[in-house]
Amino acid sequence: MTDSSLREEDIRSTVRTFILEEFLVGEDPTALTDTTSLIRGGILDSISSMRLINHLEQSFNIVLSQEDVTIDNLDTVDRVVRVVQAKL
Amino acid sequence: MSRTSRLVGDLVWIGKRLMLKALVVSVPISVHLWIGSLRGRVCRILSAPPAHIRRNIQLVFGEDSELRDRVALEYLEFSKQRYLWRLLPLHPGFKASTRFPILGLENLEAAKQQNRATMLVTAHLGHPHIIPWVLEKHGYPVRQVLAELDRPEKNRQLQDWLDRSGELKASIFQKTKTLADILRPTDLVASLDVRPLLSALSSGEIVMIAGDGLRATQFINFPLLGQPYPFPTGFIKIAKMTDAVMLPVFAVPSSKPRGIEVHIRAPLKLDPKADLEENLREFAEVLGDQLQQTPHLWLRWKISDWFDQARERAEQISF
Repeated sequence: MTDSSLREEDIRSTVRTFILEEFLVGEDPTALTDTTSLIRGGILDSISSMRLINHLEQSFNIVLSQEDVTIDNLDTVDRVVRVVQAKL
Repeated sequence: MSRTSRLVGDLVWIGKRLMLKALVVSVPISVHLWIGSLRGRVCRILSAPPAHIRRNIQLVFGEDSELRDRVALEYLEFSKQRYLWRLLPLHPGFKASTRFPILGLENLEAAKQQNRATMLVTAHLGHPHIIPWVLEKHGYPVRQVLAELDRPEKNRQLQDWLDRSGELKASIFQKTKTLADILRPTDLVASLDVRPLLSALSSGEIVMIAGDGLRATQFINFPLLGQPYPFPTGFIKIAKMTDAVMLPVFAVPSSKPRGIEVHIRAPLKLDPKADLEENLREFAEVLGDQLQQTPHLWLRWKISDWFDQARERAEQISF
């Protein structure tokens, strides 16, 4: 595995773990796939998105601007991973 | 389109913009208010209200003897509002004018004295755009949350239009901006990113938000005028999170003297232990109450099949 794919898996795992532990407590973890709709599916709202953003900023030492925080960018685990990767 | 017709079109547009600017500056506020009312009456006489306005109002109030009056009054008010909202707060006499009183200011004062975050919750009713300007002239700066579309630099449609328009037209546009074209630097853009909004509330600023808007991630349906209507839930969550005092506020026309009154209602009773639905219900009731008093002032009647559309739009989530 390359460094970048390792990094990607690290980001994915961080995002998944946070969502499962904070917003899907008691739910079946397999129900959260990389393409599950987080916002349109009602898992994240503006407040929980903010908590996810704060977690990502602290975990990866990045800054997400208001332009980064859009439904398009945060609606699936895949997209969140891409946004974080772009900021690293 | 030929070059000549485009040139003529541009000249007409420039002429209208310059005339509007000259009108704003040279005509006293009281006359503008009178012209606004006159414009509404003339529109009502010269043209019939669009059928969908009648359909929307009929859906809610039924085919009663007052339907015709309600539709006509709505049409009059909207025509008047379209004239006034573009120029009033930018008028040089606005600050000194006494025609924009605030009723219920003690509710805002009480909130400020508690040193709590203050959230004004308005609706697309009457003259909401004027509220921050009126409060500001009474010494209460307000940061309003507006749709991204209202921020010209974020409005791609407007930006494309300006890019196509050429330097002269773009320059005239910038110099003759009306209220419809500006978003103040202090205003906040409605977005999934609520950090700026939380920051403003945490630092004790007064924030105004529309409680019947459709730019949100989650909604709860409540009856409004007897129809299910999707209310956004975010502002309630933010108020709970910041322990903000929530004050419903509406700007409605007054007749003697002719002007616009800002009504600040008593604070909504947020129960931290109650669920979201319970806390949102009170605002839905306050708005419903205001709409029963002034149904003709709701700005949503203009949209065809409004209640159906609102539910569809709410499901689409738009930022």
